[in-house]
Amino acid sequence: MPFPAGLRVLVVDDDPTWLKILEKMLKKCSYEVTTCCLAIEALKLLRQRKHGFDIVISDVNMPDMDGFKLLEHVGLEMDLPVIMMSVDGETSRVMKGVHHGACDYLLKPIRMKELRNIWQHVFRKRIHEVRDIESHEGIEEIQMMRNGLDQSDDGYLLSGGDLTSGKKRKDVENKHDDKDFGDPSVKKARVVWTVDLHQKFVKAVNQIGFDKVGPKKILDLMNVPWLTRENVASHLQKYRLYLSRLQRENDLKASFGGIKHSDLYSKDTAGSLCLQNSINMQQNDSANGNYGFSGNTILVQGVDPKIHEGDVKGTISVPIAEPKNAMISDIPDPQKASSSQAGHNHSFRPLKSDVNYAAFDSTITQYSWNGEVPDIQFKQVHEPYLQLKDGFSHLPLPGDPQHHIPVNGRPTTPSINLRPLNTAGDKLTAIEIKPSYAKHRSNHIRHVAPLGSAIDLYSVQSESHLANFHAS
Amino acid sequence: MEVVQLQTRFVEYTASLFREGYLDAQFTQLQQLQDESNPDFVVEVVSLFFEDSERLLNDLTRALNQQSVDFKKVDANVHQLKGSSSSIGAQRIKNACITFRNFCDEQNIEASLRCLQQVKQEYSLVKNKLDTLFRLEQQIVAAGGSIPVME
Repeated sequence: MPFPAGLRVLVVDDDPTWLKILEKMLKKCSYEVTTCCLAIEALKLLRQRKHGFDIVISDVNMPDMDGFKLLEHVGLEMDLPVIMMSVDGETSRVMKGVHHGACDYLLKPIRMKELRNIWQHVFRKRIHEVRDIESHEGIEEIQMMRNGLDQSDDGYLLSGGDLTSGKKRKDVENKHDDKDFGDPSVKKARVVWTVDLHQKFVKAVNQIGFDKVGPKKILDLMNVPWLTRENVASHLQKYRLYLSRLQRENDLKASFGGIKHSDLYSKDTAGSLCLQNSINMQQNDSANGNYGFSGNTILVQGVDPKIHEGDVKGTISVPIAEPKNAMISDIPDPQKASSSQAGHNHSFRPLKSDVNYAAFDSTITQYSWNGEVPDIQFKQVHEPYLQLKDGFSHLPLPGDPQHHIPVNGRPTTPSINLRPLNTAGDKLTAIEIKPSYAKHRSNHIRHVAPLGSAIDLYSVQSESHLANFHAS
Repeated sequence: MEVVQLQTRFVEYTASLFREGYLDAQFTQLQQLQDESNPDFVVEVVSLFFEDSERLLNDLTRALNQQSVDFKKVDANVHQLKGSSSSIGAQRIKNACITFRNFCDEQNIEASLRCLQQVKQEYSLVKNKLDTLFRLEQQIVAAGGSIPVME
């Protein structure tokens, strides 16, 4: 059967009448239809049958989970196009859908002709992915040549400082080795950090001890022959960022108690957050469970910008419905982890213009931190879609965060100076939103964005997701 | 009764339902979806709708008769009913739901109760009409005829 016949559609709607009608309509379009009346069921199905669906259509109002949250999950974990449906056509709702990454928003009653065309979303996404990967490789080459090897993770961490002489010697040797392979004209192979690979990584980190960890040690323990020290180094960097973000969120949760905000999570939302967190927990083989990623990403979502102004000390004010620490079973001591970075002044390079951000919630695009931490400018990405490629080496962390960083006594917040994404002044300017693929990871993102978003990389390490990403 | 007469009656009756706003174009969509693989599609869908609506109406009645009314829940139920009535094209129910939701926003119990009554009434009406329509269909089929498909 010619495309789009056989398109595999998952329809999620708690209304049995609509579910039956949509099923019939989609079948008439020659699509392969699976129906689901609960969001949780839908997620389960999607996880069980990775690569088993091409597109998801879901009603916004589901009893067990907010449709927008389902939308986020699907976009992050499975990276599938999602179409939202509702009988409610209020512009604000539609906008919310688009912001959460819906590739379309259909109003009920839905006509068959609207369903006939849904294949275009699948098609468009595929084309763009290929394009992104291609241009991504081009940019990578250029930047490698521009920056030279010294800026690679290897050079970076080496110069930063293994202060132990023995190790340094060994590292210097390694550096020479790497240099041989690190010919700028050679494209670095992209590492797919699958769930399994990541678990090996985390295991190695835990074995070594987070404050003693280093790419070479991890690499040795992981025993993955094709993995390079550089791969591990950049992954480690992201991991650290992720952990420190988690830590800040935990602190925030602690300090958050007194702040009431009507726009914040309602009880229902908090309830559903717990639900999602527990869903993630149940994912047995997936590192996702360890991170509870969805919880993290969702948390960013409902925050009202008002809270941030001056209220919070340099942390993301994101309410957490459930103690995050419980979920981070593999991480020995997040407190320790982030304090190892405390007292460090990291300045991230300002993001270059080739950074495209995935969808942002319109309520939080303009964000500036006042008060205690004047230099931090955060972008709340509730669509945490910044995919840092492992091949990417410019994460200029001055100083080596891995060894014996003096803890300056401040409980958790690392003092990190970040430049505003778009450089101009205090206010973050509007971010470019790619409407149709708001959910997609932008392959153009290379730099470490404000902490919040960078960590979100961690959020989605599902195999299928990465596999798709690497599909060429 | 002759098949042709039954069929004519069917067509006229259907037309009146549209004219009087009981049904809208969505119902026609349903009829068009019906085919040999699903000869009873419309009846099945409408039956699902009846079941679901009755459940929602019961929930609504209960919710509005609480000591302290949870309008969020009431609104959610009305929203659901609005959605499902739109699925079969039950226009008057849908409109009654829209009015109902406005009163929910105002948290006006009295008005909400009146709206509930209104919705229940519309539901009964359209249920009767559709039951009549399906009976006509059955009679046509029993008489050996085929059910006319609306434009």
